[in-house]
Amino acid sequence: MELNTHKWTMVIDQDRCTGCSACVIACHAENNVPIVDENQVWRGRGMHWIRIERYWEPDGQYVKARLLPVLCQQCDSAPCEPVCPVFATYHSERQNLNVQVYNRCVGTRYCSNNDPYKVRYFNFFPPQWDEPLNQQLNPDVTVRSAGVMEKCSFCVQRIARAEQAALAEGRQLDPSEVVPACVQTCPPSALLFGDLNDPNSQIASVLAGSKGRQYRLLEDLGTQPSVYYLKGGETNVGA
Amino acid sequence: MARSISRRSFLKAGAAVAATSVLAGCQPGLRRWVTLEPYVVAPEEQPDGIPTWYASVCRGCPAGCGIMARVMNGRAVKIEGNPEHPLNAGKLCANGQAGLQILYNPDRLDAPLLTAKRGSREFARLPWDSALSTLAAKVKDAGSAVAIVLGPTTSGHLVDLFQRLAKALGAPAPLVFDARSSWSGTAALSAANQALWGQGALSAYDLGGSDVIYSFGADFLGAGLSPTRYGIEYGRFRSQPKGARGYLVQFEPHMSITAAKADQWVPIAPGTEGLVAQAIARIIADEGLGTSDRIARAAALAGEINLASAAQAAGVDVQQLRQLAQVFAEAQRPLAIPGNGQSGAAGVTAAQALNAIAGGAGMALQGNPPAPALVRAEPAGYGQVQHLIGQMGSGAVKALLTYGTNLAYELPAQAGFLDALDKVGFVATFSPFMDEMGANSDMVLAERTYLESWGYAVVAPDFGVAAVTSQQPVVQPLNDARSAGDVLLAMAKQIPSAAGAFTWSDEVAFLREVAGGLPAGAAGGTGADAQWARFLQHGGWWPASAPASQPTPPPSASAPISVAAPQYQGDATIYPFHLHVFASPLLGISGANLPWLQGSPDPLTSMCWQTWVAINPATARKLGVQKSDVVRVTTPYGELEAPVYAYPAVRPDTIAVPLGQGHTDLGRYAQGRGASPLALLGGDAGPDGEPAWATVRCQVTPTGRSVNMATFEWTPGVEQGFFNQGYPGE
Amino acid sequence: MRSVIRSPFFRRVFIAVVVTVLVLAAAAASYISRTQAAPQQPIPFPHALMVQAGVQCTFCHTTATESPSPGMPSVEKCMGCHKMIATTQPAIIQLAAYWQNKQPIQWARIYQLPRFVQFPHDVHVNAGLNCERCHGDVGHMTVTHQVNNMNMGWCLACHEQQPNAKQLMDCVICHH
Repeated sequence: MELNTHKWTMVIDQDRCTGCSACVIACHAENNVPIVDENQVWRGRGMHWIRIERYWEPDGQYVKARLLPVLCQQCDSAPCEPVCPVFATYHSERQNLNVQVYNRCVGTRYCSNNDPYKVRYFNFFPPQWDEPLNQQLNPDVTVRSAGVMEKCSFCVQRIARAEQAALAEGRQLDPSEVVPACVQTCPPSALLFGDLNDPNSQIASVLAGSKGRQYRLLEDLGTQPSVYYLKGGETNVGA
Repeated sequence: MARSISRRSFLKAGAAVAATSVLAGCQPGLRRWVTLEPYVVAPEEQPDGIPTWYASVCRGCPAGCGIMARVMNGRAVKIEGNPEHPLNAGKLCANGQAGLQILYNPDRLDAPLLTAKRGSREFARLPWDSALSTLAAKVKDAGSAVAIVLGPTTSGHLVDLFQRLAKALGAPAPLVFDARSSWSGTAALSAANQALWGQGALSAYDLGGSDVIYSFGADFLGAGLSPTRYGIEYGRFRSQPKGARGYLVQFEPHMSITAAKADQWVPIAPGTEGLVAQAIARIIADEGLGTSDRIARAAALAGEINLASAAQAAGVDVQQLRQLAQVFAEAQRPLAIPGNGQSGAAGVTAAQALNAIAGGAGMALQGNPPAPALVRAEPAGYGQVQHLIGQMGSGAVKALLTYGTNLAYELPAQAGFLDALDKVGFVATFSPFMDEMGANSDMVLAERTYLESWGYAVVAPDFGVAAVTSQQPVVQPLNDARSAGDVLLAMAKQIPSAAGAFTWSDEVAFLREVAGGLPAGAAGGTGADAQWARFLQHGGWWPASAPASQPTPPPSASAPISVAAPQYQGDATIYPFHLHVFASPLLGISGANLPWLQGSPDPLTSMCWQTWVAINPATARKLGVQKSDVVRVTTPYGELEAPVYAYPAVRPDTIAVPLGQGHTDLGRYAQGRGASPLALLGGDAGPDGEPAWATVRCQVTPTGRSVNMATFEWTPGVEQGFFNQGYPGE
Repeated sequence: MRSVIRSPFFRRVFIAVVVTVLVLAAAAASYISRTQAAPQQPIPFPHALMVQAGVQCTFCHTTATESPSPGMPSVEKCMGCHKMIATTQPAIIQLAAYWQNKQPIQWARIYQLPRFVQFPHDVHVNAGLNCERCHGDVGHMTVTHQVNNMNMGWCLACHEQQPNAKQLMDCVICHH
């Protein structure tokens, strides 16, 4: 059976995101993302596939804070893809995802150099989990070794398993069955996920109803990200 | 060696050696194969590669969220929120997500430990039988002079068992206390509701249905009461029908994530939350704002107050207070959220009074547990802890048992707990880890973690739906640690006065008896066995349909609320700054031994692994310090050293230091890292029985040293601030 | 050149080098061929006997249609029959000893894909592939051994012949 093509899309409602960072921890747990020690964090080698960026804006004597969750934008026209000398990163045409193939990566780091969002993280050292923390590792996700680049995959392992389960039942995947770890745990439901190719998806109606608030990061670079942000705070001008 | 070797023979010999060594390595027996080791007896419900989900409760905070653990081949690999649970509906906060690192922590204890010299940290391992009989003997010898302190996340059934033990021994009832419950104002909130409505219960707030919310220092999105549920509520608050997105005002001296999300952050001086609340109430009464009902209630509840001096103490304009009062009074469904322990009990009451004035809609007072046999851990006020410390110091306590509360770390150093501990004959702690309380105990009983244990949690606060979350092991226990319930039952059998009170064979038998008293609920099932099975399967008990919301009764306060101006401790000429102590939403107060929480960035500073001192950039400039310079913060009670973080969202006269680090114990990730601002607080309770969280003054002195700051953000971009123009106010 | 080889010393060096290389090559061939040989198992388990007796693959490898992993039978599963069947055979006596001592059997793993490959058995079995297709004629093996080298090229050779080849050639389906 020919499986459907998906256009996986995430919508991040900045009016709802509280910066609680539940998504950050959920992603570490789901995707075997290592924790970097204090010294290496200082050297700029921290690794969080999703991070909360905080911007200050002047507000009288003080400041306003703007919170922005940033993860791999899964660009349709990804700057990280053409520069890999070994094709370790490519665009999946059926999933419309930017895929990182760990075993092909040789660690030139050109992809993260070209990535304007800086959402690619390099394993400078072999990741370590003091026993028995390694028993928590998710068997559905490859544990990366040193010298390999990694990034958010929209929890493609969940997409793959859901598709396999649907195939076993002889049906197409119902996209609402798939939810990445960050989206699943987000208490204010600031993160929404779905397949834009599915006309019945919640994500399609959210995007249709929020044209006035929508934007994408660094849109003028022409990367065509698959992540849409909805403006929050007083810039939430409604639909 | 004497004979020279010809080139020929050398080369021949070399070739022969090489060939031999290669051949020698070729024996198949030497080759190591990867082995595949199946079960001896395979568990039926865990086929290889297919996850099994077990419902249980999160013990990261006392809220009682329902969780599901994803278990593959007997290993718990992920925790998610339980989608059926009425409190958190499938969502879970960062603290809850990090729970697996408690289960699989490398520094877990696996045997009971006994020391000959308390505080030496030299423990001998004991077999369980020996530990039980020693414990029983010591408790028996203490007679009725046994003190028990429990943490607020303790399972209801354990609180029950400890209560029964205390009763059987003739000892005082167990105390429930930890720093988080004190800092989040739990006891103060119950006291406020007692004063206003005659019900000493917690209250929960329907943020999602409110149009105006004033939060008086409550970091309800961060490390407050029920963060997951309030996160859910916040999402609803901002997505109300017809594009309404609510209006949130946060009153606090240092911006938490709640203030970051507020529409208006009012940076008031520490400890003045109550004054501001009372001032608003007074203005509503005096200027006749809002409906006549509201004006009448305001007139009854708001005590006399000098607006000008209240405004000045808080650091706001009277005009601003008037505007705030008007917005609140004229809103359709306004809510006031009382703060943390910063406000003190009087401040919490003043904020609650605003809810009473508004009519009480949107606020739900905690009801009774769904069955009379269920027990809730009710946190005590700090005054009771002080009383206990006094008892200990006078030698009146012969045995102290603690469970789930790291008192030796979580009290202000000045409280004198460690000194008083010297006068206690025998100290035993139940904990999965060697924390500071364990390090200062005679005996540490290796406790199972919550993911390997049985129990229940009465959801608190319950947001109008009385619910109990069930707790069951999601994996086989990892080591020889035992659950406190079974330890208590076994120990009690060896104490004549207590043996009669503990007739159950094990804690599960006790739990089944308690759960048997639950009425028919959403999960259904007829008969005790079916009901118990569904209790575990669905993750708890809740009613089949949400009950009609109980209207809040009219307030019954007998005297108008009156908040005194905060009495700051420390001479202002020596200690020119206010100290603000807070909890980061990730680390909280007790997350230091979990690498996920240590290594993930604090949302507003992106700091990892360290304690920092948040100083307004203008103030930092005046002090001549910048980010990563180590400063010494001194109060009349103590001092600490930590690096500066130039934080533009804090009052220039206030220094903020996060809780959570500064451990001497608790394992490799926590030890020897940062400093705890609990060293800076005084030990005396304020006039309202709560610690003086917000009224300590401090001085800041550069040390001339600096450290590398583990921030995730790009330092130069932030340091240079607004494109080299500096921060506002500089 | 010829003058160099003619010199007695260099001719001997040359012969020595050739001999060494030949010896090393033989050693390498021997070594490598031994790594491809079937491993020794703790109990000499003969699939052929089981299959001849009529036992289906999924009787022991129970989750082949439901899980990425086909599953290995527990000792209890073996004892289910062998408490009564062929109890005097030396291999069964060995097995019974494991059961008596509650010891798991440490089978030498024959099929080991690299850690960066997520291979789902259930999808393949449910797509109509029988076990023999990849694992060879296990039903006639006394000593279980690998018959296909199972490298990625071998997998792709089949994938690209399917009607839905396009989706099966997407790296991410196995590499995530």
